[in-house]
Amino acid sequence: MEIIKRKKGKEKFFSFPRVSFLLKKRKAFVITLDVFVAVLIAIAMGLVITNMLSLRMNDKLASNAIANDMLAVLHKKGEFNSYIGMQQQQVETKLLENLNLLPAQYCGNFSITVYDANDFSKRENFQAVNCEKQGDISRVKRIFSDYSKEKFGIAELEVWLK
Amino acid sequence: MKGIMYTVATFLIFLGITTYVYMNLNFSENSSSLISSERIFRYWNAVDSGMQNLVNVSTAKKDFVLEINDSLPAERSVKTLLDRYGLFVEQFFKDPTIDVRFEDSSGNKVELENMESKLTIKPMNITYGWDSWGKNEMEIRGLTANLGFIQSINLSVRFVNNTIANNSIIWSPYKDCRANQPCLNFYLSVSDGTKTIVSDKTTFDLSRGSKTELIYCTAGDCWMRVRVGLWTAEDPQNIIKIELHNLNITTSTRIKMNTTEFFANYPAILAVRTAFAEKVEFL
Repeated sequence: MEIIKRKKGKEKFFSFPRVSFLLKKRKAFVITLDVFVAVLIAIAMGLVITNMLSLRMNDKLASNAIANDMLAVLHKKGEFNSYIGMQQQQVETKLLENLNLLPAQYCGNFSITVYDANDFSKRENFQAVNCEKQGDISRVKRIFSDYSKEKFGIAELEVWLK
Repeated sequence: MKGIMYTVATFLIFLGITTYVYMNLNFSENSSSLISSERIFRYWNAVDSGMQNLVNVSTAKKDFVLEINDSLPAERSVKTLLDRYGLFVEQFFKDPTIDVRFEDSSGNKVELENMESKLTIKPMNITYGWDSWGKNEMEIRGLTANLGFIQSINLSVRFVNNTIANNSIIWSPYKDCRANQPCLNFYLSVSDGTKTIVSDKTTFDLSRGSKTELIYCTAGDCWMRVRVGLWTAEDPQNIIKIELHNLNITTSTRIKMNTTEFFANYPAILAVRTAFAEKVEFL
């Protein structure tokens, strides 16, 4: 009789409706450490690919600096002022020579426009390019003036990686 | 043990990725402002250099000495060139991403042609300038209180396309230094490329005026004269003055100060601005 009672008690417990429902319907989502490591590695690979952006920004800084330095040096040497009054072909040959001084992995488009100080509509253009434009292009420009010839000028240099 | 190793490895990878992302974010922002800052610096220097060229004066500071190389009078209309230069910068050099303009010390836009024709050595407020942008006369001026900063002035004058008629530099009147009065060490030489005459007087009382007799050129009615020190009671700031008549000269003036803490600029500000940065300084 006692045994039967105990059995009944057990049955009574397991037949309690709410708990029984939960135990039958239970689900779980377990994140194992393996998965977490795998996710981190996937993120790392994605970042390596997106690192291409920062490399390109590095290149942009470098090409800007190279172009600016070239213009500054030529300006200080008086190169731009010396072109005023020269023949078109002579100037463009000199511009091409300057472009060939760029580091080997760079190409450029060098243009100079000289204006009459008293009438800006009177102008001369000179230009030289040493290879086809591609990719990211850095553009810089510099102003110069000539007192005795009463001329103003703009030198523009575009630089890109080959 | 395996669990601990996994945990440590995960933590290290996570830390590495976080640091990498943080550094890259900073780098991208800094790169843009670096490019912008360099652009401003280059633009400012180029516009400044162009303007100095139009005035046809070069200045160089080395330690205690300020050297000014000049040519008088102006062969071109400097005032007109400055005006045209200001317009040229507005129309052709600046663009929507970078603003370039000339301002006064209050930040108001100014026309370059209206800039006063002088250089100011600061903080002593000693000026090297001309009667106008025509540069027919050159003057070095300064208050008596600031004259103590000047150790000496060395002025070399060269006649252009002319020869000197005089055989020496004669001062009349000549006022030598006196005790308790501002005294200037002044060295003057005049050359035409072949002949050079040098002043034998090198100390001058600035509270009283000295002047040279006319130094003539051999070809026609042309001369120059140098005045040193106070000349009129109405104009008590004169240190040195060069007067010219029908004569072209080039000058090299070396002003030696008793300190290296000085700089020289024109009385106009060049402001170059982008969205990231600006450079606003006296020309």
